[in-house]
Amino acid sequence: MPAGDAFSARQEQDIAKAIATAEAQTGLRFSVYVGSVEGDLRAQALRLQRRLADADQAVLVVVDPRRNQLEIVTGVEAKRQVDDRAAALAAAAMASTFALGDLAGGIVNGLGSLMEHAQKAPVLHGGQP
Amino acid sequence: MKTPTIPDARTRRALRAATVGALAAVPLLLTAPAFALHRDAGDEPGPGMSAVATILVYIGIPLAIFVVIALLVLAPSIARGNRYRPHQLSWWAAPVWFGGPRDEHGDAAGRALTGTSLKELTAVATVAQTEGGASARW
Repeated sequence: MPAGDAFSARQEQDIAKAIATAEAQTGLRFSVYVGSVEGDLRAQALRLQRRLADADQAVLVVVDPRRNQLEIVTGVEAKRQVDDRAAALAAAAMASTFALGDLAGGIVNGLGSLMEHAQKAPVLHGGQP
Repeated sequence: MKTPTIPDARTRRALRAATVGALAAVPLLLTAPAFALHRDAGDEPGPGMSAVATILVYIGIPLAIFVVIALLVLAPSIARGNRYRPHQLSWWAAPVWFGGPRDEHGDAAGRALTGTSLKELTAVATVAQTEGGASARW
């Protein structure tokens, strides 16, 4: 039985703000799931990611605080902007903050890192009339 | 050039014993009046404290101070409630999904936090070939 909320209202605001900023900067869609996940984290994260509206453009961060694991899934289109190296960098940044016991701060850091390292979307067929 | 002479082992032991003895003796000497056999003139001690009063004053009051300080230290975290501890390998809170499937896009401040449990999810698990990402543990 869950007891208590994962985040305070202030922390929820901070995370929502970080998501909004990252979305405005990159044009991608960001989503963060924090909760205990059963089974293979990558598979479950992919499932969650595909439930998102606009999943191709979405970046989902799944944090499992019980198992001390996190997973970042970048959608098919989003991957062009946030490549796996940028995702790994953000994952490492988050994990190091989580290890200090700061979940909200780690999420905000990670979103910031994803945003910073998201490249400009490559314009395909830009030279065509 | 003269090198400082190192005293031999017996001298050092004696010095150490003398130092420890002196350090112990000084406070005892300071409390010497308490052991006086004869009262000084004008010395009027009141009635001695009862055992209960002694315990209250010398144990009760320090304990009370200790408890007050401990409460002051612990109060903020008690008020804040449960808190994430990385090495406990437990998690108490319901899942939170920021920017989950149900909320409306664009309204960041009013984003509803949909705590969707994984058991509700019925999405098909197909093999991912194109999604990217990364993982980490801590």
